[in-house]
Amino acid sequence: MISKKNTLRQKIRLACFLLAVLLLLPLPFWIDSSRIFVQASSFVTICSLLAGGTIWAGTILGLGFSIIALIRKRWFCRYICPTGLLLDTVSGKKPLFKTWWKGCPSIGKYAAILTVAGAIAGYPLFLWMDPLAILNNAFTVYKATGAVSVAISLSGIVILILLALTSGNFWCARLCPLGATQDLLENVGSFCRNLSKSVKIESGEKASPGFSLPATRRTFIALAVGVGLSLWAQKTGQARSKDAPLRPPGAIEEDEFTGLCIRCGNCTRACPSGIIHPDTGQAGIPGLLAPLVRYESSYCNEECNACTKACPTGALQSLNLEQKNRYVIGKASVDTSLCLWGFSDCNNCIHACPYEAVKVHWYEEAYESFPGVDPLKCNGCGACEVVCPTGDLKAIRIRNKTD
Amino acid sequence: MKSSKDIKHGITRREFVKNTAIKGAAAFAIGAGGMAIPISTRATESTGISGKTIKEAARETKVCRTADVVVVGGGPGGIGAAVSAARNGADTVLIERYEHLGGMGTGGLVTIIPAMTDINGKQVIAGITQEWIERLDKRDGADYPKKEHWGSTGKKLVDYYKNRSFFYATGNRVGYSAHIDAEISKCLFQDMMEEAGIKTYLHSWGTEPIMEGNKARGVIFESKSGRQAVLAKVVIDSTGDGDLLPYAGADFETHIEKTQRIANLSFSYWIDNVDLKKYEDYKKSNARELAEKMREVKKLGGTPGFLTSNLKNQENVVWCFPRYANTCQYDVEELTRVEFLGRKEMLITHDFYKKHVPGFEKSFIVLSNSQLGTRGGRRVVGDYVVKEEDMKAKDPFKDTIAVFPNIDDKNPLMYMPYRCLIPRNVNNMLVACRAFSSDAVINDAFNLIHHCVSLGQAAGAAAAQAVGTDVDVRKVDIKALQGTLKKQGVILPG
Repeated sequence: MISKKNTLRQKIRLACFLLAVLLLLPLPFWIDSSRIFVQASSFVTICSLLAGGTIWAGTILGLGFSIIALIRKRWFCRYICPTGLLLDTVSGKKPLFKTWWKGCPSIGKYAAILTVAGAIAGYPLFLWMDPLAILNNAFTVYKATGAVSVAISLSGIVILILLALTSGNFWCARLCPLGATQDLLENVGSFCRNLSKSVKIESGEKASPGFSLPATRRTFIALAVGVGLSLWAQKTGQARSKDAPLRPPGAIEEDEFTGLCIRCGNCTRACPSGIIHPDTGQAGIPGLLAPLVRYESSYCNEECNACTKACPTGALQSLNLEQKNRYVIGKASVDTSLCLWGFSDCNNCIHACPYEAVKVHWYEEAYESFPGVDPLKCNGCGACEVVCPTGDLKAIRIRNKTD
Repeated sequence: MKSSKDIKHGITRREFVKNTAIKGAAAFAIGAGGMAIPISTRATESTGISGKTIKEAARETKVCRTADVVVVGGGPGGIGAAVSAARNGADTVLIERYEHLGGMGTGGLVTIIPAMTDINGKQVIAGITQEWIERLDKRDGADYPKKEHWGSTGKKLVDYYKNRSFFYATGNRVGYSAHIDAEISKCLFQDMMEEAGIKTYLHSWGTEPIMEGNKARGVIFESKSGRQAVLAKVVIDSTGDGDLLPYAGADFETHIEKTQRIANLSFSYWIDNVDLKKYEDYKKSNARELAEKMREVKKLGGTPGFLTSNLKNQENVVWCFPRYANTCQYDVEELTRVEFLGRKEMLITHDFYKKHVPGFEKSFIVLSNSQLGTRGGRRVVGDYVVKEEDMKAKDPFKDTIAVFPNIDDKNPLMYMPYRCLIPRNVNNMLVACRAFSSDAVINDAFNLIHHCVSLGQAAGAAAAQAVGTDVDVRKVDIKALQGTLKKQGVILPG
């Protein structure tokens, strides 16, 4: 009986895995596919909703799995999770150090609690630890432009695989915040069931191993630390200057963005221009691996809003084309001492601007003309910066919007 | 910008006519040349001398030459016109005010012939410009992307050429643009004059057309030899600024927006003995510091930035092209002001570079332009005024005599009609230089060296044909003209 059930379970898992791969492959038949995929995670859905993310059809999927988690212990892990299947397969029967972590508490649970607490405070700290986001990000590799970005997109899944090879299902059992979220939900479920039971039967309740919902000291500490860290991260995130990195169109306020972004790589993958790259520390620790925009070889095309449709958490708001084109990524500004208009009649930026925001301006005081930017028309798409011929230091550059 | 709208540069034709009428006086000098016009019918003062104008005495002027075609101005337009006229059988005279030929392309140090290919990399401008470059090649006097690379979008190639010169790649495509040697060009232009049998007067300032009613009959020029006249069946104004127009009674436009490219003069100069390798290394490792220095030199009144010569054995030469806004490019006061300012700022720039920019320690100023870089002056009102809308035209004009690469991506070619060279209401006259009939936008885009050579080549061939068939220049057989031009290397539609 059990083995039969297990084979059925394995078949479902395999099917889910294949479906996931299909959704994540660069087949653009459905723009929402990868967004749906990550949204299947209860952890992501709950936290992004708490942090003020957008509610859409995909949210229902995550909430559905959350409800199942209330009554079926780790049902998602056992039947659906493609990352889990991958890790199980890799670890096989004989990991190197199978048991060292047996006495370890469930780090994932505290991570999950921290993150939920942070989400309520507006900054879900460890949302990026979600296993679906990590698997998803690995598929960003085909958009990678160099060794660093290959490493970045694959780093998450490689770490998980290494963990699986050496320590069996350490990740699933102790670290995974999605698994832990399900445990927590199951705790909530059983607590409620016990409550209703305890009205009828006084004794014989079965305690959950290691952790139960009723408040413990650790949970309180985790909650408090979560809120604290969240506030700290928001504060560091606010330290922005004109030279701070640019976020993709639709990005919510920077202080919330770095928290709500789960580093899934969807936006990087969605961008046909290849201008969205993972942050390697330009925005400080809170922004690590979050997407940023660099205008090296292309710009934010006026006929595209793909990235805003790819974000599973709402860190990038879903925008229609017109809204996207009005969204201000940054503002162009001209350094007249680098600009070639002055001596070689270059007017590349003027011709490149899709919004007619760059024009030659007359400066009476300096008694000279130079290209200048109309801040009301410029959305920081970067078309001008890309075509500026001045080498490493561009004479026209998109700089961060600061008030 | 609102503020710059409707600002007239210098004196307009209307003001000129009004002033002349009010004074009823003969002499009203306008811009370059500063010549008086002998119309004395309503002169009231017997001495002819008042506080504001004087009346010159009528005089006999020696006719030093009678020819078929006289071309005034030996710049790109004039060279194209004279060579083309002579090669097509006209006895031709060329009058040039400086001691060299080539105008902006040599004395003005505008030693760049940009964009002879369209956005796809196909050559569009050839003719005498191409001949000029081929002749330069024989003396290593030109540098440009290899022919097999024109149109290439390969990133490595594009980056290589972009790094070599801003002009060698447009967008992300390699194009045909050339850096040229000014001194060698002067030499080969005079060879071309001699080979074609053109009577050339250097050091001669062609100032005033000889008019018979609305018919041009020749030109008066001033030189060390005094005031002399050349009589000709066709007069071609290749003065750049359309210096003959006010005296020919031709209508002209002068309006330019302050924000346009052509609203600026240039004072160009070369710096030699620059260790460019050292400079490049510094630029690579200290880009931000260099940018800061460029800001500093600009603050001091100098000019940041330069182009490298790229010509053979000129590995240590850089070209500087500071530009100067002005109120009028054919106003002698403005020209003098900018000459003075240009030289002062040249020293400021070079002093700063020498002191603060690695690679320039032992550099020196080797050359400055012998004529200011002028970009926009008078524009004749011709039988057809080429307007901004014409850039969007899909079909060529019936009388297309030149095709230029367009700046509008959607319409890669710009067609120029023969009629834009013919001044309205004037006979026997053509305008073959940047003063061709156009609005300011068209002039801004299509008045560069190679454009003027092309217009000149067409005007020269047309003039020769008019003389040969004994008709006015506006009556020449267009088909025959186009056929001649095609035979002589001009790329035309059809």
